[in-house]
Amino acid sequence: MIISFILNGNNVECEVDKNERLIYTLRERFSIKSVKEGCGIGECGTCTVLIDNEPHYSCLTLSSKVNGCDVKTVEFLNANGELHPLQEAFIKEGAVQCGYCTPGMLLSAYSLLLKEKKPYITKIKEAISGNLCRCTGYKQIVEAIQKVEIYGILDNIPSVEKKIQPHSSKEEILKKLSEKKGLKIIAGGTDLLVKERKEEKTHDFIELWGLDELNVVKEENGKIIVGSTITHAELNRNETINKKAKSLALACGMIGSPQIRNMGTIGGNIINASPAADSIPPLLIHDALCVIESKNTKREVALEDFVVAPYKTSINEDELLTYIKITSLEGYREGYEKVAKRASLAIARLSIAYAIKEDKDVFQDIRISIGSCTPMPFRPKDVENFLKGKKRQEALIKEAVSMVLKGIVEKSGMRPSYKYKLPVLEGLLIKILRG
Amino acid sequence: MPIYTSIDRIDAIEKVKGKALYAGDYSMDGMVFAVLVRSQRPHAKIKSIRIDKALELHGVIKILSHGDIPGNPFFGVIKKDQPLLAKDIVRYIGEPILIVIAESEKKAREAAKLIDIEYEDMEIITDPYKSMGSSTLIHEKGNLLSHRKVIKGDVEKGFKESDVVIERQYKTTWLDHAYLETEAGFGYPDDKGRIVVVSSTQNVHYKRKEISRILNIPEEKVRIIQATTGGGFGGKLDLTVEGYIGLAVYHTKRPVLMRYTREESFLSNTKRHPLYINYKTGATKDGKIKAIKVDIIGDTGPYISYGETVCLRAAIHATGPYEIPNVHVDSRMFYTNNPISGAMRGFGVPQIAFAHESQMDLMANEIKIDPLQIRFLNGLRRGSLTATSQLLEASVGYLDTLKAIEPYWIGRIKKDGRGFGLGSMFYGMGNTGISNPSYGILSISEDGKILLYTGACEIGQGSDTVFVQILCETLEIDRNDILLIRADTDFTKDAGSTSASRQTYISGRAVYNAAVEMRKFLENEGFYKNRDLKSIVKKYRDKGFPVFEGFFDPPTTPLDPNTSKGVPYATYAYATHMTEVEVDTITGYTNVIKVHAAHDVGKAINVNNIKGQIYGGIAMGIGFALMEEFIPGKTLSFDNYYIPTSMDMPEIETFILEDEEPTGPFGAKGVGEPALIPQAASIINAIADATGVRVYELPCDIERLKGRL
Repeated sequence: MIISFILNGNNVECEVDKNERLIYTLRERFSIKSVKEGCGIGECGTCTVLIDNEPHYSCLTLSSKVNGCDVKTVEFLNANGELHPLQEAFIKEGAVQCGYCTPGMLLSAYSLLLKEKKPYITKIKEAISGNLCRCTGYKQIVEAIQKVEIYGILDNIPSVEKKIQPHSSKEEILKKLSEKKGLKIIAGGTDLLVKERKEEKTHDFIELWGLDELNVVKEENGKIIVGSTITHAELNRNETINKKAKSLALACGMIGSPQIRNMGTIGGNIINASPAADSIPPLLIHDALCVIESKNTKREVALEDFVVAPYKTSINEDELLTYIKITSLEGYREGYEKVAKRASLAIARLSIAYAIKEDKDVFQDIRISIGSCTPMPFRPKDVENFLKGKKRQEALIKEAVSMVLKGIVEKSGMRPSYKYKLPVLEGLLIKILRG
Repeated sequence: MPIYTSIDRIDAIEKVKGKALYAGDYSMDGMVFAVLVRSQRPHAKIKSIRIDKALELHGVIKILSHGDIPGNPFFGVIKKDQPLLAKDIVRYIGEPILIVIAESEKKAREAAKLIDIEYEDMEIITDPYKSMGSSTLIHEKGNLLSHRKVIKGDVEKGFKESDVVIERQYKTTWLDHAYLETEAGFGYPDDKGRIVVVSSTQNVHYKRKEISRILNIPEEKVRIIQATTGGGFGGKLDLTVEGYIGLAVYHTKRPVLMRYTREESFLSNTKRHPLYINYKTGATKDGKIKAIKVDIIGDTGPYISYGETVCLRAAIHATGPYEIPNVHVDSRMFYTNNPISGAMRGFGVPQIAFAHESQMDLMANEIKIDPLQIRFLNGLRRGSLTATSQLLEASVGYLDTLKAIEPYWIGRIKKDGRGFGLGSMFYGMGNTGISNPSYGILSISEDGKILLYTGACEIGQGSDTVFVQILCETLEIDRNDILLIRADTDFTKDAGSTSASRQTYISGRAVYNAAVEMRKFLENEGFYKNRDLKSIVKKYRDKGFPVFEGFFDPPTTPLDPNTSKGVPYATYAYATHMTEVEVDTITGYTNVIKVHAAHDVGKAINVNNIKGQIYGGIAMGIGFALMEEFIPGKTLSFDNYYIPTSMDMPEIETFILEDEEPTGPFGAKGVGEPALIPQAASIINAIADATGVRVYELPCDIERLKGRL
């Protein structure tokens, strides 16, 4: 297919192969060698580019996705012939060693500075947490970003140049799905394209980009409707979600890295159905209903029934997950605990989403969901019911927690990983219930 | 005080613009791609290989095997024991068997998948303990690669004089260098019919020798040029892609590109040696260490690489930066069918530092003496005798590192769930007990620039900048008047490898020596009166520009084969890190809060670079201590090999101390490896302080720590 987009401020057009990735297009068709491959699976950040000013991993981006978009590589920063203040800062502060991560690092930093001119150190660290560096220990990179103002004035223009993006409609997609078998629906691509590389397969993809009607968060009849193509980053910042489904906002803010969150979608996270999926535990406590549509049918399935096994849902080949309906839990004490080996770019070793409504130490409503422990994230509803209406007491909490642990072992047997997970779960649940 | 001249990194501009060309970025008309077919078995006989289907694939040019190697089919940085392409036997998963050359990378990989190899499995040696007693021999001469001893005094007597004896077992695992740029290279036949390889490497001259041997052509027929290199840390010292590219160019007479995927890099690059360390320390009740007895067993994998180097270096450094009168160290390396272990930032010393620093804290705790005090009491100083009975005469800044940390150590306030730990180290600069010289060559160009030719590879650590800075300082000239020609076997002389923290110290001194000669010349020519290089150019244009060669080989002596007595290194770097951690006892998660890092660097040449090394070393130390673990057969890529992200990094304060080394340039020593070595130990000691639980096996990740809490 032929795609046309804005590359570093210039209108460009090119022919791309089926399932061609943006890193390939940029390196091989446009000779932009600053876009580096470091791993090819979205785990290192050397291939980072900006799409509409947001960092993305170009190794997990199909080139067709940027049709009509604004794409920037590091060359954009000094396109006028002079070094950008950020580049100056990197040089002067010693932020460059081997230089292999540098172009991607600069782009993640630049994207942050477009949003915030004087970001706090924690914001800076988070913004570059999807870009690995093995040489610098990141400190001088962080300092360079902090001190950028010393090296020049930052331009105000976020300068996203948009071409008319190709649109598609839900009807079109559903029609295509009904006509051809074996199509794989791709939204963010952060799981599918990794799998494609690992299995050395080339899929027939049906792409959801430009499907604006699903890119929504709205409230209807007391329910929050989340479109399936909403990205994790969007959910993380969405006001409604932050107010009424805090654990979901938090969980989405901990998925992978900034790049992954800009790419991956809530629908994709559900359909991938990983036992470690970050969004599923919070969705479960919000009684998520999945709206599944095909050309001629529409059904609603509770998320807990929709995920039938690890990495498996009950979706049919001609169906599309269009929306997720969730219950607002405004006013609840909500949270998401993620246990992982490192602070960013990590798969949950264990996760807990919770929402608790208390009145004078009485549990009025309590919702807990546990991920990365059993084959599918689950809610120990018996324990939730057991606690409901009872007064918070140490003995009660201990009893409830031991019920949860017992239930897990009864359900999935004693797995080797439980030696670690059960004591951690116990400790975290006690902490959560104590408040 | 650092030297007067201060400059920015000279390679940074190209790097921030994204213009720097790494090996995988090269291309040329008619270029073809080479990929390797690797063993899927850890130990097996190759029964048959079928390549017909692959050859039929459109776009496949050639498939090369062991039989296509015209020269010596074995290579190795110390000894030539590793087959370039396996012949009858494979000894680890990932061992190269064939090279597939095709018109595109995709085709080459597709063809590689069509190749059928039939194996007959052999018994797998999975650890060094199994290796030592096994009748299955990985190599004919036996499974023991190397046994080195360091003996000083009489340990039995030392233990008798001790009031407290502590003995513990420590274990470390495989680590991957995880440089962001995987191994890559680009080769082509030049117009003189020579073979040129541009690669991501830490040593061009060694690689020229290997290719010349492999292809059985004179060294003059091979040219190696270092591309911009995206990190090394020891992993690009060995021959990686270069031999295959050389062979592919030899057979195709076409430009060839080869780059490892991340998965291939993990599978094939040499790892940090897993060491099993039994460490026994005896001390008097007032804190004087009287004796140590250390037994080191290492898993070196199936081929030598740097196994012997690590074996010896770990043994020599087993005391840590302490003067111990009675020392007995046995260090042995055994072959296994695990990944090849080789050089990785510190050559075994980070592992042994984990052990000796844990022992220091255990001892301090046992005899109720402050951990900083016990280090001070036993620390190396001028006049000390090391374990190899080397008399330390100059640049022994260890105690200064303790003094720099002392106010923070005394002032530490322990909060709930938090703890503080110290880690110290010493590290010998350069290769062990052998000559390891370097050259720096200076001249003047037609257009009036000072030309600096160095064979030293810049791998991100900053040697290019340091050399230019040394020239600026010595010649009193501007950096823009200097043109650096680096690591190209056509133009530069062998500077040895970029390893062992040796380039600033050794190559820097060679450049300095050349600069001193050039300065004399410039003075004679009146340059310092009128600063007019052009008139000198005019004068010498016809008769030829003078060339100034600087040379330096640090004074060492060979070591006694039985006791290792001698001078293994001309000088040592010293460091102490103090780390504060917070441990979540529910999850076992350790958050590193703050590190104070004090380093005796001899003399600071580039402060930004030194800090960069220290910060980077701390990051790698955090990985080593808390999360990094290569599991053979399981670890495939960055999704299951975690290295620290920006969010895993603590606050860091550095203290750059200068106890000048008389043989170094302006007194400078190295800092690359020292930056990493004490970090893991200080974290483990801090965790023990925070929780009362001491971990003896790394990484101390969430699960391992939780299991002990």
